Amino acid sequence: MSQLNSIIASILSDINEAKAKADQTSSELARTYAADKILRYFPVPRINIENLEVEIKYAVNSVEEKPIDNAATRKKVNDFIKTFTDETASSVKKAVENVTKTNELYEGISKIYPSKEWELSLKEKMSDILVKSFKPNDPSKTKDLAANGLRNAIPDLLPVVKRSSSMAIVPTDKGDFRLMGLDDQGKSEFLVDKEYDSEAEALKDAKALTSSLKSKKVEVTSVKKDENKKVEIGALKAGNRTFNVLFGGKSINDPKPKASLEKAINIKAEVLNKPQRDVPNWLKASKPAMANINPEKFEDDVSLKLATEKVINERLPLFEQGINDIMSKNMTTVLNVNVDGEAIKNAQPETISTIKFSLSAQDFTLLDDDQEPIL
Amino acid sequence: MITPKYISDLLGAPMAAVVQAEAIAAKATAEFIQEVGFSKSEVNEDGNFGTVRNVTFSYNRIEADGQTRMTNISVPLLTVIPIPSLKVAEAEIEFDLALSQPNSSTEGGESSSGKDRRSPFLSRSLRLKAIIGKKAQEGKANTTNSATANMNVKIRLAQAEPTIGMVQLLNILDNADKEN
Repeated sequence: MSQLNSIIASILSDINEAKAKADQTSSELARTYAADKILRYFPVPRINIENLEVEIKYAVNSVEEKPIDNAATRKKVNDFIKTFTDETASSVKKAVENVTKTNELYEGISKIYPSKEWELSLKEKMSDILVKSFKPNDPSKTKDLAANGLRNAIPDLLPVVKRSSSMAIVPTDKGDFRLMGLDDQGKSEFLVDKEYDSEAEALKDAKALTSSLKSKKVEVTSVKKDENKKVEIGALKAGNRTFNVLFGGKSINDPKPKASLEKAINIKAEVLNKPQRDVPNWLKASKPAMANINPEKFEDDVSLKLATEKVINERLPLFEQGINDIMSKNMTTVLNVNVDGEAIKNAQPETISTIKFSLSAQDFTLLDDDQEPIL
Repeated sequence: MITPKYISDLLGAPMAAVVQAEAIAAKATAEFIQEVGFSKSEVNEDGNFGTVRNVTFSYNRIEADGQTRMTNISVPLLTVIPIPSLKVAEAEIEFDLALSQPNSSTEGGESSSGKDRRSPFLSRSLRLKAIIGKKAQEGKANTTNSATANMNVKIRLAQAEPTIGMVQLLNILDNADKEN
């Protein structure tokens, strides 16, 4: 079973090929004539198709509506994708901004991220994915490809924060990393006064400090105030290493800063030594970003990923709807037919139709701008 | 003919046959010219046909002074006898085909090769084959073993002027021959 247009196209191609075979024969004869002392003065035989008529009997198997996949449809889809991408990228940027402005883990980069340039990169990436996802004959596949493509691609453009429940490795706008102590609400408690060139280097220190905290070998040896930076500087002795930490920025007038830092250290030790329990599903659903955060194990923070996924999930139905609207306005009726002689013999008489077409000499001639034959 | 062939082959074969037939006829004319018009039966390697075969006849010619004299005239034989030369001015080909449609999974389209970079709309996804069939007659069942045709093709052919390319090709070959 094939579409009628494919059948006619196939026959037209065959007619052209047949004419080419006759021309090929003339071309070969031209060489033979040129080599012959007498034939060289004869005109080389060459034929033109003056008229060609074809009549085909076919059986109609089914009639269906199919989307037209042509340049005009593609343009409409591409225009829609551009608008959709612009709006979605803007919404994603707002969602990311909301996280970086409110979540202290991203405080170090919130001045430069997400930038206008980032939004442009996001647009390009999204547009590329959505154009490639478009499958004119399979709307559900288009939706799935778009959803998977966006969900896989967007995290590449998000900064990674590795965190446990009590500590995090946070990126800075200079491209390096800092080690941050977190309280039981996930808020910044102190910042280790060291800039790490790599995440791995920061992670090594984070694990060392966590291990010392768990075994209760961290001691606050001194605390002094830095009036210029308006922070307290505490020295934490962990085994044979000392970590200087900056804290108290928001409560610089704490009368007992050392006691506060010691209390924070003790709470961390308690949390680390508390037996782990499964987070109930209702809590996971209510606070997905906080669920399953391990006190010791450092894993990727999912706040940005969840925020962007939320936007994508809200926008995808609009994408599907938009594509469906375009395709539903660009449908064509397709005849699925059978031209096989045996099949026609067995077909119901009422399904049998005939198509006739004819071609004239002009259809086999290349014409110039003045409609004059070129050859 | 039992094995289905591509339609292009079935359409191309009679058209090429017309061209070839005309060439065979032209060859026969060339041989006639060589055999009748020249004294050698075979052409030398250098293309020398030999001497032109003449016919000589005598007649009484009246001179300016009024005297009659016997005069001999010799003319090439080829100028006095008609040379058989045939050219197909027009040809009509008509035949009936019983199409055989491949399954969609085995369609021998060109797009499946991966080399066709045209849009899916333009790519050729189907190549039909056919066998020469028997024209279906109204109200009569096909009682023979031959397939019933469902495609009728009529082609009218006419002699075409040589293309510019073909003329140029002949000139190049002719000049190359002279230069040698």
